[in-house]
Amino acid sequence: MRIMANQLEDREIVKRITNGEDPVFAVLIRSTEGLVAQIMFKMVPNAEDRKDLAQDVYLKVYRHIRDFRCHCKLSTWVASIAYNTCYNYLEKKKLILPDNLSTAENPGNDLLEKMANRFIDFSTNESLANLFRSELADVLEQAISRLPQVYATLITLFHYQELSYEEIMEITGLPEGTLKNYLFRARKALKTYILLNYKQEDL
Amino acid sequence: MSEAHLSEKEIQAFAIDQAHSPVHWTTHVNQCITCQHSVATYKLIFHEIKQQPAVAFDFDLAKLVVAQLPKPKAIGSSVLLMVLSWLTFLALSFGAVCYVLRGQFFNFIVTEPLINLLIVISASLLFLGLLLDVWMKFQEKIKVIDHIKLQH
Ligand SMILES: [Zn+2]
Repeated sequence: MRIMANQLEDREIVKRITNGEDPVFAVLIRSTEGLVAQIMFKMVPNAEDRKDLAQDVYLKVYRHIRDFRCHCKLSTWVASIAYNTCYNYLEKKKLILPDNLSTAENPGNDLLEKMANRFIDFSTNESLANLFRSELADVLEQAISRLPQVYATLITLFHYQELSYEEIMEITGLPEGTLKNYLFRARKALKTYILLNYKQEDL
Repeated sequence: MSEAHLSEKEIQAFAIDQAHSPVHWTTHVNQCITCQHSVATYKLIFHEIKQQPAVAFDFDLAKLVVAQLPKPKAIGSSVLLMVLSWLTFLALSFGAVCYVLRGQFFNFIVTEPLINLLIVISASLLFLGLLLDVWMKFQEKIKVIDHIKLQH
């Protein structure tokens, strides 16, 4: 019988894994590896290292699953182990990017206006919108990859995974004020990068 | 327009959750082209982040991890074997001593009843002590095995 993760409560999953039901642990891996991948792809640039670390994350989850307390979701707890494993790896390898987000550069109102007009054009010209979107997707990807890893991860967790501040605080261990400040700086850096990129390309 | 522009923080908050923003922000943004552009740019960025393709591992993570999980050991049978070994050892030792000292042993029982009683009591206590020791060690080992099982 195939076991579906959403049919099992977190408490039940933990109980069955501690009782040695390996197939239930496989279900837990499959239901959370998407979130873990989002974190790892933002924090660990090397694919081979990611492969080792991903296994390391779930072996840690298995070893410590008895320590799981139900004050947060099991997926959030797994994600926090992934985040901390990646963070320790970055620290050990001295790979943490410096917080070099310059806020001095102001793209100016004319660029903002052009960018916003493109956005408004979405509804009137579909082919233009598609072209613009594919360009923008590339520029955005570059912009995110230039952010310090922690900032890129926070942006992904908040805007892509749509996690709440509480869940992201649980995963990263960051205090609320710091988390909000990092997110603010990261969003502003993305906006600045994208606008300046369009300036260079003579939007 | 009486109010100053929204701050960058307010613009971001407005772009994320317009519905729950203060009314005076909405009033201002509706009247201010600069703030409208700023809000639209953020909305575009947030929209585009959500459209990014999902990343995924290009290997079967569950299969790799499950293959590395420790295999459960047959705890019950190994402990039972240990207890039986102990009992066999004690029985054989007792039998061997009886066999070697069979002549003196029976004479002794008949001639020195008080000392015999003391010997029997001491031997029984010793035997019970050994049994108790075996039982306590057995409990300790079970605890250790349980702990190791949970650690993995
Ligand atoms: Zn304004």
